[in-house]
Amino acid sequence: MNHNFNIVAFGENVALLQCREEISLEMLEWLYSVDELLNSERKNYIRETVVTYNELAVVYNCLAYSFEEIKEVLEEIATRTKASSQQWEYREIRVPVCYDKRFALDNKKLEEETGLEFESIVALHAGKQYIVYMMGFLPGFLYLGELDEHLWCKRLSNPRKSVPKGSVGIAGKQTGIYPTESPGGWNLIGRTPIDLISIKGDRLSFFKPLDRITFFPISKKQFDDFDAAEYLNGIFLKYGI
Amino acid sequence: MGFKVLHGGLQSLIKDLGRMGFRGAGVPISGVLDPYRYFWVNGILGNSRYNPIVEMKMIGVEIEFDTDHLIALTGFSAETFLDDKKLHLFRPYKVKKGQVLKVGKINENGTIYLGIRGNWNLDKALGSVSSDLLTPFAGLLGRALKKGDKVSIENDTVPIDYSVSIPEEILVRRTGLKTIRILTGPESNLLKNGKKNHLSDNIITIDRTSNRMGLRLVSEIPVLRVNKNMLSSFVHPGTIQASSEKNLILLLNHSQTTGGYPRVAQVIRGDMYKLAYLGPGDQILFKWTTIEEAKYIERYQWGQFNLLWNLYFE
Repeated sequence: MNHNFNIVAFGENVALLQCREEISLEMLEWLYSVDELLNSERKNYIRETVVTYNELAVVYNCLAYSFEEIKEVLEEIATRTKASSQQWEYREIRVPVCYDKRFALDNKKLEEETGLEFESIVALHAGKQYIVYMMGFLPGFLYLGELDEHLWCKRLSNPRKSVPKGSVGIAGKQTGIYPTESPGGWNLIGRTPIDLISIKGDRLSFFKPLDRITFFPISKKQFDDFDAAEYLNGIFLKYGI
Repeated sequence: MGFKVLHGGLQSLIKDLGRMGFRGAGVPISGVLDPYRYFWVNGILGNSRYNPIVEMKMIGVEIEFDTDHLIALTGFSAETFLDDKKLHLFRPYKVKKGQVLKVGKINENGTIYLGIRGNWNLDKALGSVSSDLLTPFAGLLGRALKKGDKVSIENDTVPIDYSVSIPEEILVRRTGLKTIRILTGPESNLLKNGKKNHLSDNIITIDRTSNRMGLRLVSEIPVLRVNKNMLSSFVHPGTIQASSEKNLILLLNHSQTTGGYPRVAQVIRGDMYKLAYLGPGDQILFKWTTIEEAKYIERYQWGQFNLLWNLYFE
């Protein structure tokens, strides 16, 4: 079975393959498979590709190729990529988070909104494995899902002008980690001592789409003493990077 | 060799064409907004057109040269001084060790490009020297110039022709800047009245909260038929997002790579350079066009530019 898709032009140099607007692991695996196949076969006129929840954006050299030509190639490759035809190899990575109230700046708002005590919120948040659905918005930002439904919540109505680096937030059905200090509207529930951005050669981040992530709680003392470099090295060793 | 920054101005950024290929990890392009004036400033100096430059807005840099150099400025519009001597744009100048270049206030929402002859010794990240305001790259790769920064440039003051005239076509003219041609975006169907809509038949004002990531635009009348909650999706420079019925965001080269607002239109590539010379208080008139026309315009512009380049610099 293949996914239903539609290919539209988005400006002169982007062809957008669109699927139904929903968050589905199966659809994402399919989109990343199409992306992989496209990049392995047609490198010369494709400048770059970006996968989001339900779309694959293909940026191409529009002075040399027409949208119709790109559309044809994309259609052919997407049709050839069978849904779930390959077993996606994913990695399981544990990420430490300190849920101390000094970092969980929105604990009160979340207690009100979810009707749960903060300890239960932490237990639910740390008790689930999340999928890296996609990266983007900010460099190295991980879109993770899906939250336990008891934790579904609204974004802040007034986004913060500055969210500290490493902050772990939740919004809607998702959770995410801020890789750098930046503005943001997610509810903050903790902070990780590890760096999400580790530039090595032409790679920005160790994390990859479809990685599986679990959070494990650490105390404020452990947070302060945490040797992030050593921890990351351990992960690099495990995965040979 | 090179220069020392005495005053950084407001977000003076070292740039080239920027980074491509890393938007999947969320890294913005961060290239120059006006490639024509960028290439030209290097052309004047006999540099490769891809040499680094400093792109400035609102208030430019004040720098001191620590050896003799050849410099030039392009763009629009500022009163620039070398010590007490007023400099003109689009002209090469010889500067001596110890002299101070002051770009100062940049008028009418303009952009100024500063080129210096020779090899700039800069670190690259992911293939580009461009300062990126979002990614935490080390040093100048991750921030604007500030007081005390030093940039090393190998000077080679070869003789160049100072008498060369300036082609009319390369000067920035304020007339004609306001009309920005657009193509449909993935969510154009959310606009009121379909194609003959208020996005194009309406004067739209650029708001004060605009920055290098995007221009915030305000329309007097609603442009959206219906607002919609969206999954985060791909956006790129030139994308016009509608954040509410009357508020729009036009993304520039430092923009984030995904967004959650309807993408109601896309500025054609050939008109992107105009956005280097528009800003708070300016008014924009959007005009719908087709991909064919957009590609014709871009090809024509590069054709004309390359003709000039060959005539003057080859």
